[in-house]
Amino acid sequence: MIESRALLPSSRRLQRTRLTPFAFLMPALVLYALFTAYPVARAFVLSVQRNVDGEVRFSGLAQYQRLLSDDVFRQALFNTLIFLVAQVPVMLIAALLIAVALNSPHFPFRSALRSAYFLPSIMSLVAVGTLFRVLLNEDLGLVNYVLREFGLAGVPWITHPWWAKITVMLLLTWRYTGFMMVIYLAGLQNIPPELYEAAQIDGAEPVQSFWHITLPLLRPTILFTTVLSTISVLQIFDEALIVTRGGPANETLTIGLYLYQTVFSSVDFHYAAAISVVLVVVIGALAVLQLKAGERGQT
Amino acid sequence: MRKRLATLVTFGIAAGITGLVSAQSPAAPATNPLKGNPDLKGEITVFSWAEASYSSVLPDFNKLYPNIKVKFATVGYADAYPKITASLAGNVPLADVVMIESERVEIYGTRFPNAFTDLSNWGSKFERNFDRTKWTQSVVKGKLITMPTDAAPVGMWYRSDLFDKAGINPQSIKTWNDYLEAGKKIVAANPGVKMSGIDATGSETLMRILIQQQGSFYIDGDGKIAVNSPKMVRALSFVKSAWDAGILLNVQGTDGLIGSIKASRVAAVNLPVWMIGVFKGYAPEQKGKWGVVQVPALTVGGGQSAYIGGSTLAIPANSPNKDAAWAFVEWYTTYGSKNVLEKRGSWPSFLPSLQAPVLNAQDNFFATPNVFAPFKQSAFLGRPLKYSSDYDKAVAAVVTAQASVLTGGQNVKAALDKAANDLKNQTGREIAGQ
Repeated sequence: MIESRALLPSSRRLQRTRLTPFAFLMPALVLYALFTAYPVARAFVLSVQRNVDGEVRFSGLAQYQRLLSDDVFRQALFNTLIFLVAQVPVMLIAALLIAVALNSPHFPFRSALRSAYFLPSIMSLVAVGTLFRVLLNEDLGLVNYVLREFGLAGVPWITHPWWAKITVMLLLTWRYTGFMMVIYLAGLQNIPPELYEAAQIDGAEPVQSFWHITLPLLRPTILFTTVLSTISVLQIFDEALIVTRGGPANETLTIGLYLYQTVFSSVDFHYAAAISVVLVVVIGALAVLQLKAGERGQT
Repeated sequence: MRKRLATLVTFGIAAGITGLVSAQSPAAPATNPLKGNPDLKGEITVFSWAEASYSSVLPDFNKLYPNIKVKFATVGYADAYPKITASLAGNVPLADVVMIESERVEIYGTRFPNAFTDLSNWGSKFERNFDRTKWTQSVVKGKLITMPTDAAPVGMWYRSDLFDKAGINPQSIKTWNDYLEAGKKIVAANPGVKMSGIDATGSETLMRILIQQQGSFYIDGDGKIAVNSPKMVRALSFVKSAWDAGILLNVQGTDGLIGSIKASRVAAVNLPVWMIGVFKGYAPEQKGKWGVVQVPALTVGGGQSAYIGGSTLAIPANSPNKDAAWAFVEWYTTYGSKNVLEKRGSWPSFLPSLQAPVLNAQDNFFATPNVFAPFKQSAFLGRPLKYSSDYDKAVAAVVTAQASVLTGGQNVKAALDKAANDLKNQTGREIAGQ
C-alpha cells in the first residue's frame, strides 16, 4: 500500500491532501446545507411569493411591505429585544457567579448543587409550562397563596403587562442559567491554578484575582455564551407559548411565537417566511457585531 | 320555535329520504346511512383529538358496514392543527377522515383549495336536513369540503346553591344587565365567589357570545373587518362594565376555568352544551348543584343564540379509501349523529336527530334534570355565520383589545380601532364602514 501511494504523481498527492479536510468536513457540511442553508434559502423564496386561492404567485416585496406596517410584528420585535437586553446580562452574570462559587474546592455539596442548577435545562418544556402555570395561577396558585399568607398582595403573574414579561424572564433565567454555568465551569477549569497561586503569593485578594485573572482568561467563554444566549433569546418561542401564550395584549409575544402563529394558526406560509428572513438578518447582524466587539477587545 | 323546528325536521326527513333515492348516480359510492352496505370493504383512519366521540359509536356503524375497519390517529388538541397544516402543506397523507372545527374550515379551504375531497356530489342531498349555519360554514368557494358533526350552542350554567343563597332565580335573568345586577348580589352573598370566570388576556368567549347575539361577527359577511363596529363596542363595553363591577374572576386557560369550578369560585359558566361532560368528569362531587338556562340577551327578547366551537369531518383528497371514508362520514354526521348525541351528549347539526328521545330524558346529575331543554330553544342562529379565512387573526386581535381594556386601562373604542387597524395591516382586508 505504502509503495503504491508513493508511486502517485506528486501533484495528485498534493491535491488529495488538500481535499482531505473537506472530506472530513463533508458530513457536517452536508447536514448544514440540508438543515440550515436550504431552509433559509427556501424561506427567502417563499417570502417573495403569495398564495392566491391556493395558487402560488410571485409577489416581489409585498410580504415585507406588510411587515413594515404590521404593528403586531413591531411589538413582537420590541418585546424580543426587551428580553434580550434585560434577561441575557442578568442570566450570564448569575451563571458566572454561581460557576465561580461552585468551582471553589471548599464549597459544600458542590457536585449536588451543580446538578441541581443544571437540571432545569434538561426538563421537558411541557412539564415546565404546566408547572409554572400551576404555580403562578393568580387565583389558586401556590406562589400567590404563600404571598397572601405573609400578608402580601398576590401578583398578576400572567395578566399584567410588566409582570408577564418578568414571568417569562424568570422562566428563561431559571431554565438556562444552569446551562450557561456548566459552560463557565468548563472555562474555569482551563485556567491554570498556578496563576491563582502566584497571585496569592503576591498578596492578591480573591476579588482581585477574579477581576485580573478569571475574567480576562474567561473572555472567549463569555463571548461564546453571549452569542449563544443572544441567538436563543431572539428565538424564544416555547417559554412564551406555554406560560403566557403571548399575552396579555401581545405584551409577551415574541417573534418566534408570532412566526409560529402565522404558520400553524393562520396558515400563511409566505408572510411567516418574510418574518423568518427578518429574524435571520437580525440574528446574523447581532452575532457579527458581538464577534467583532470580542475581537477588538482581544487586541 | 318548537313548532317551526318540528316542521323543519319532518320536512327534512322526507327530503332526506327522497334525496337518497335520487342520489343513486353512478358516481356516488354505494353507501346508505340507514341500511348500510356489507359489500363495501376497506380500512380507514380517523384523525382527531376526540377519539371517544367516534369510538363510542363504532359498534353501531359496524352493524351497518361490517367490512369497514375504522382505526384512529389521535393527538392532543394543541397538536392537531399543526399536524393538519404540515400534512396539507407537504401533501403527506394524514388520514382518511380528518376532524376540523367549523371556525377553521375556511382557513384551510382557502389556503389549500384542492386538498379536500369536494363532498357536494355525495352530501348535497342532506343540505336541507342540516342546521343552516353549520352547513354554510362547511362550504368554501362553492365546494362542500367538510360535513358538520356537532353544533355547540351556549347555555348559562349556574350553581343553584350559590344562586339560592343570594335569593336569585336564574330564570329571572333575561338580559346581560340582569346578569350584572344578579352578579353583584351573588358576590355579596357568597364570600370568595364571583359570578363567572373570564380569561381576560387569553380568550374572547364572552365577546363571541355577545357579538353573535347581535347577528354579527369579527369579519362580516362581505369579508370586511368589523371588530370595531358599534356592535363590538357594545359587546366590549358590557365586558368592561362587568369587569369593573368586580363580578368576573380572571382565570387563565382551560385549567384555570376547571380549577375555578372545582374550587367553587364561580356561580355561573356561559359555555356550550358540552359542559355536561366537563361537570360530570371534573366535578362529580358537585352533583345536583349545576343547572342550566338560556344565556341572557342584550335586550329583552333579543337574540340569545351563540355557538362556541363545534366540528366537522373532511376527507383529504389524497385519501386512497374515499368510498369507505364517505360511508363513515355520511353515517356519523347524519343518522349516526343521534347515537353520538345519546352516547356523548354532543349536539347534532343534523336536524332529524333532534327528535331523539334522549333530548327529553331526565339527568339527575343536574339541578335542572331536563338538561337539554334550554338548548332546544336557543340552538339555532338561523342565519349564516361565516368565520372567514382570517378567523384566527381576528380572534387574536379581539383578545388583544379585550386585554388592553381590562388589564391595560385602555378605552373601548380606541382598543377596537387599533384591533381593526392591526387586522387591516395583517390581512389586507378593508375595514367595514370606511
